[in-house]
Amino acid sequence: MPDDQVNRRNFVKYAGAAAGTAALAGCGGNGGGGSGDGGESSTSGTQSSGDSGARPVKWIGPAWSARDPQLEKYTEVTGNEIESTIASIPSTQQKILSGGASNFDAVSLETSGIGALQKNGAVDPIPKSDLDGWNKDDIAPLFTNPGERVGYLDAQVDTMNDYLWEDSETREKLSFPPHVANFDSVGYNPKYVDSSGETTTWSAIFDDKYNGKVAMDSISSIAIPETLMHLADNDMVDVSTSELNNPTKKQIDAAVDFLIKQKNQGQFRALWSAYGRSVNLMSSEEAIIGDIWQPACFDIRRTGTPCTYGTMPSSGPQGYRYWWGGITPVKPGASQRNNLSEVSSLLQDVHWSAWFPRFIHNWGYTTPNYVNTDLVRKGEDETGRGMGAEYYDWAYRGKKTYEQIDKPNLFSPADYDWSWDEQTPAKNGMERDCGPVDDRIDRIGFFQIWPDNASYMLDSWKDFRSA
Amino acid sequence: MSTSDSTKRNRDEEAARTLFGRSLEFSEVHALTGPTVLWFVVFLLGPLALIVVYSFLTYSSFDVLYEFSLAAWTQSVFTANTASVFARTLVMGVGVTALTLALGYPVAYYMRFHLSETAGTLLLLFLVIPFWTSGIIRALGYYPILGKAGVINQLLIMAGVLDQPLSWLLFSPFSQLVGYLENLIVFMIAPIYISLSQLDSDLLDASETLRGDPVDTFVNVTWPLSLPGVTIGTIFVFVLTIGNFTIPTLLSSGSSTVSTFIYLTVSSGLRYPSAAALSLTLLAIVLAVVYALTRKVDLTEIAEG
Repeated sequence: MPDDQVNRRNFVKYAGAAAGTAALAGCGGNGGGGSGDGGESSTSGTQSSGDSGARPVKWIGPAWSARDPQLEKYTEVTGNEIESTIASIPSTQQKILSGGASNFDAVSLETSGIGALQKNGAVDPIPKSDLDGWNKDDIAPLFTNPGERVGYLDAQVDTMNDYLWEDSETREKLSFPPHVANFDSVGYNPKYVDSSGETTTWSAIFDDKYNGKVAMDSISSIAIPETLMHLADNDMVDVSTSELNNPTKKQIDAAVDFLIKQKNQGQFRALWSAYGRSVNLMSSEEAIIGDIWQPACFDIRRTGTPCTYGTMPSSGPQGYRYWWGGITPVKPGASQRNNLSEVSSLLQDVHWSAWFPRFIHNWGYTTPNYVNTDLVRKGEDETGRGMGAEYYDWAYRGKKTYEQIDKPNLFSPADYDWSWDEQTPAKNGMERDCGPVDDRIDRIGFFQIWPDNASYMLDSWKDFRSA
Repeated sequence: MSTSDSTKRNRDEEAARTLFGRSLEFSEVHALTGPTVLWFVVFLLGPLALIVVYSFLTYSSFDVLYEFSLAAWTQSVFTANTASVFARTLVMGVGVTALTLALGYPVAYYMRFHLSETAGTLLLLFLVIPFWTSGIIRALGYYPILGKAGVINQLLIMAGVLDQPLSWLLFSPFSQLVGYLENLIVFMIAPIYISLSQLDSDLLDASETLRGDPVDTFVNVTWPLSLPGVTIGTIFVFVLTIGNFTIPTLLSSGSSTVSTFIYLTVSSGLRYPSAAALSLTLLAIVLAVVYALTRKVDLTEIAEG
């Protein structure tokens, strides 16, 4: 055999050299996979004694929905051992729909992610009568009566009720009861982006001024409605308010075509789907504006980079991206493991408590029980104390902080010393981005769901991603 | 004891030994290869068969129905969109392989002919040390180097060479190329170095004696004898490039490669049939490339060892 040929022995020898290199390199060729979504999944736990059901109670969901202090609080309050599996939204869906439905008691997702589980019968709705906290005095009308509170969203209200209730007509069982909610907007770096206007719209991320400086969300069910609002506002597409969160194929085409043009013109510095990547892009100033999450804005500030979270206008088709995160029993896991009541308790005793609103607002999230001011503002229960006057009024009523804030675009609520007692807000105090909660609710653009034309949307989205 | 008895006994012993020997040989072969075969069947052929089956199943909103369908192939693989993604990925694979060869070969050459064996091995180890850090961290590490506020841009601005930072250093084909080179060049250098290490120095002396200049010696002696290492390095770099996930995800501005495309297919709607079809297409391409690169292999010599 000529020496320049590859035979089995020298193949093995050279391959061995490369494989040895790879071994030494820690298989560095691929450098590991993952989307950067904070890891596909990991498990943590707390400890305590139990009662009738299987222990530990098993809870699966994304990191933002199930943080360790929430587990610890559950154990503290109920005495039940609980364990969480942290996974990205697709990974959570995958684990439950691929045979894991018997292994978990509770799942937490957001509204566009839960649809897959609901449609495939993987959630076990909770009877309203099992949740004492679910009443119009303790839960915001945005949830208990969206038709009245945000009727201006037309048929989008129906999708809210469809996601919330097992049967939106009878309203006996809650299919996806909320524990957090938010009104997402555009985040920007005020050093480079003009913030003199009172409001910001989604159109800002498509503004030529910011060409090559935009961090764009790459999740289709989010990016397409955002784009549709911009197009509708500029008479570039025919779309009604009812259709914004559930677009037709033609509207999807219009949005994707527009986004492909934007991408080809270099409008986007980078696409992001993982939370950390959006923070990284903005904090390093690679991007100066983007459709980022509100907690990301706080994390950007913590790195020392200023960030403002835009206030949406009170009229026109553009408005906040509204979604809620919820906790619901997994079917058949929760009933098989005799933990249905434990899941109800996890929701009600921990997340509709006095303690949770303060804890979670450090990331900017709203809780559905914020209307229960006796409890959330200055009340307390077995979970601890509520938010206190200053924090509550700042978070929900649009009041300024009691202390002067010199650098509001670097302000982080988690690092501020909030006063429990009511005092006079400082003249140079800071107001929360996006204003009072009622203003935010009045300015919703679309409610985030998994649309009916999802398959078509995903196929179209591949055109955008490959452009 | 009669002669016939003795002959019979010898024949029986020989038969028994042969039988035993064959039996022993049989069990040895199976004992040695069995675990490997089992491993491949359970962890390679089994899952592969499952992927093939899934590529012909029907997808319905987060669910896979056990009904035969060609939709995953017709709607996800045989489309202009997918073809462009495959083309882009293959171009990147060829480009990275060519660059790693162009840059890696001189390094391997230097290690073989200008360093002692110990120093060469030591340098090879040094080349590997960066890999002890996670690939994700190394990819992210380019942000403060190539970014707008990164070291290179800031130095160029401070030196007065630039007014504005260069945006094409990061989230661009350039940053991807840098990432691939840093990740994969060692996979090219190592086999070439091993190949050159086997080269008989007398052949180089003979070339010189026959009045071959250094270029002639390289073209006619060194390069042909190093081709096995080049081939193996090429296979490794090409395959690892087109299957890489971290670099296109973290260092591109959002353009898809086949691997990110497959991930997108699964992460948005759990479309396993389409992901399976795309994966099989990628696998077929990889196998075709490996086959093409190793087509000179003499199967008889492989059988003879």
